[in-house]
Amino acid sequence: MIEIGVIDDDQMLLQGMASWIGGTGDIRLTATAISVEDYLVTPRTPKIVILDLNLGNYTDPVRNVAQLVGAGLQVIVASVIPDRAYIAATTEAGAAAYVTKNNNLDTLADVVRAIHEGKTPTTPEHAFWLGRDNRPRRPRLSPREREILVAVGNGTPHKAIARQLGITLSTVQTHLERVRYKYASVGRPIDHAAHYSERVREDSLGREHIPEPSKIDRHPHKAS
Amino acid sequence: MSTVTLPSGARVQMFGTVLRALAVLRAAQLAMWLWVPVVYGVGRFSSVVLVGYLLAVAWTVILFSIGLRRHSLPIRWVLADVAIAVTSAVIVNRAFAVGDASSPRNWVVAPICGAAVTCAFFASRWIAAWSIAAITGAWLAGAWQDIDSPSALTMFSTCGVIIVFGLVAALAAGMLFRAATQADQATAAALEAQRREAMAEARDEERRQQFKVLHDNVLHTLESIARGELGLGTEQAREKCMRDADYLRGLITGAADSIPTDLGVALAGMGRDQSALGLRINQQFDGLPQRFPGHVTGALTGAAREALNNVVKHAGTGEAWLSAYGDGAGGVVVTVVDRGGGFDPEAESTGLGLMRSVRHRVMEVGGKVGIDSAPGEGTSVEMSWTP
Repeated sequence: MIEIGVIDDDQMLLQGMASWIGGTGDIRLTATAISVEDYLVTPRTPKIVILDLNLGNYTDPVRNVAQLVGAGLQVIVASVIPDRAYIAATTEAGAAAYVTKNNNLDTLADVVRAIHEGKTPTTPEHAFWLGRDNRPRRPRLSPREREILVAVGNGTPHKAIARQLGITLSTVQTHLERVRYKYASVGRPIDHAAHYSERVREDSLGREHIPEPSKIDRHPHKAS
Repeated sequence: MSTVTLPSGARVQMFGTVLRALAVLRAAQLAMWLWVPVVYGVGRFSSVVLVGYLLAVAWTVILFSIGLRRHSLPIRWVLADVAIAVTSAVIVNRAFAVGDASSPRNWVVAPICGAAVTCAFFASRWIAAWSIAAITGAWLAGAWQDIDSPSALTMFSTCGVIIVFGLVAALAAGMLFRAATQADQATAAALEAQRREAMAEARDEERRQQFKVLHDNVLHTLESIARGELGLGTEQAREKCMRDADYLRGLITGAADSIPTDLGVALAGMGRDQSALGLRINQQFDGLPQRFPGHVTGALTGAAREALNNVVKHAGTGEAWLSAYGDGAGGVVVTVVDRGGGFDPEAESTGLGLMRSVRHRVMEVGGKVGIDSAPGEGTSVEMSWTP
C-alpha cells in the first residue's frame, strides 16, 4: 500500500479525494492539508504529496515546492490550468511530476507508483509544457532530447518514439531522465532559502501575477 | 511603432515640389545668360566659356530629369553637382578677360548659386556647409585675377550672394522637412489608431463568439444540474461535466497572459464535439498565432476532426491527445495521437483512408501531413502549416 497526501485549498475536492484515490486499490490518501505549513505539521506526512499549483493563499508555487522538497518529500504538482512558466520553474525546484487535475485516476495512479519505485515519471502534459519552455534561462536540451520531449508531449507512446527514432525503449527513458536531471540541476540548485530568491530574480518569475491579499477588491460590485 | 513612409507621404511630395522649383530656378539661371553673346558678340568669349556653358546646360538637364523621375536627389548626384560647380567656377572664370569674370557677362555666377541652394536642400547640414564653402572658395580662386580691376567689389559681393543663397535655402529646407515629417507622423498615427480599433473590434467579436459557445455548451450543463434535470453522480452527468471541463481547459491553456485564438477556439470546440462520441480527448494548446487565416483554421480543424473520427472508428481506445502549438513564426503544428491498436501503414487500407481524408484537407491549404503508426503502438498524425 502506497500512502500519499494532498495539499489543496479546495475543501470539496479534498473530501471526495480519499474515496476516489481508494479506487486504485494500492494507493491510499492518508493526509490532507490546505497549505504547505499545515501539511508539514500534520502528525503523519506521507512521503509522496500532490500539491495544487495555485493554492488560494497567495503563496508562491515555486516556494511551496522548494519547501516540501527541502523537507524530503516527493512532490506531484497538479493544476487545473497549466501555466507554462510555473510548470518549468516548479520542475527546477525539484517537483517529481506534473499532472493536470483532469480526474484521470489511471494517469495519477501510474505517476504515484512510478515515484514510489524511485523514478521521475514525465507525463505527456509535463513534457508538452517543458517542451514549450521559452524562458531565457531555461536548461539547454540537446536536439534529440527536445525531439523526444515534444513527441512525449503530443501523447506518443514511448515504444512508438523508440521505433521512429531507431533507438531502444530504455534510451527514450534515459533521454527523458536526462531532461529532468538538467532541469533539477542546471547549475541552479535550490538547496537553501537564499538560492530561492536568486532563482526568482533570474526568471523574473515572482509574485507579479499573484495579487497581494490587500490589493484584491473584495466588493467589485460596490465599486464605482 | 516604425515610422511608415508611404510613396504618397508628405515628405515625398515635399521633395518632389522642391525639386521642380529647383529645376525651374536652374533653367532660369542658365537662360539669363543667352542675351549676353547677342549683345556683346560671340567673339568676345573664349571657346572654354562657350563650351563650358553648353556642358553646364547638358548636366542640368541630366541631373533634374533623373531627380524628377525618382522624386529625390541621391547624395552622390548632389555632390557631383557641387563638384561641377567648383570646377566650372575655377576653369571658366579664368577663361574670361580680366574684369569680365566679376561682371554680369559671366554665366557661372547664377548656376553655382543654384548648386549651393540644391546642396542646402538635399545634403546634410555639414556636407552642405563644406560644399558652400568649396563653391565660394572656387569662385574666389577663379575670379582672383579681377582683384586689381574695378570689378573687385563685385567679386567679393558675389561670395556673399552664394553664402546667403545657401543659408536661406538651408533654413527653408529645415522648415519644410519638419512640417512634412510632422504631417507624415500625424498620418501614421491616424493609420495606427485605425488599425488598433479594427483589431480591438475583431477581438471583441472573437470574445462574443467564445461567450456564445460557452453559453451553448458549458452553461447549459451547469443549468441542467442546477434545475435538477441532470442527476449528479450519474454516468451521464460525469461525462458531460468532463467534456465541458476539457473544453474550458482547451480554451485557457498556455501562458498566464495568453488570449484565446481563433484556431484554439475552433480546435477546442471540435474536440468537445468529438468527445461526445465517447472519446476522452486530452487537449493542449500553446502559442498559437493571434492572426491566422480563416481557411487554414477550417482546414486544420477539419483534418483533426477526421483524424479523431478515425481514432473512434479504428483505434479501439477511449483516449486521444489533441495538441497544437505555434512555431513562433506564424506557423502551427497540430497533432492527433492515440495509443490504440495502430496499423501497418504499408499493408492496411484503414491507413490509406485516413491519409487520404486528412492529407487532402491539409494539402489543399499548403500544409504538410505526417502519419506514423505500427500495430500495437497507436497512431500519430502531425499536421503542420507555415505561412
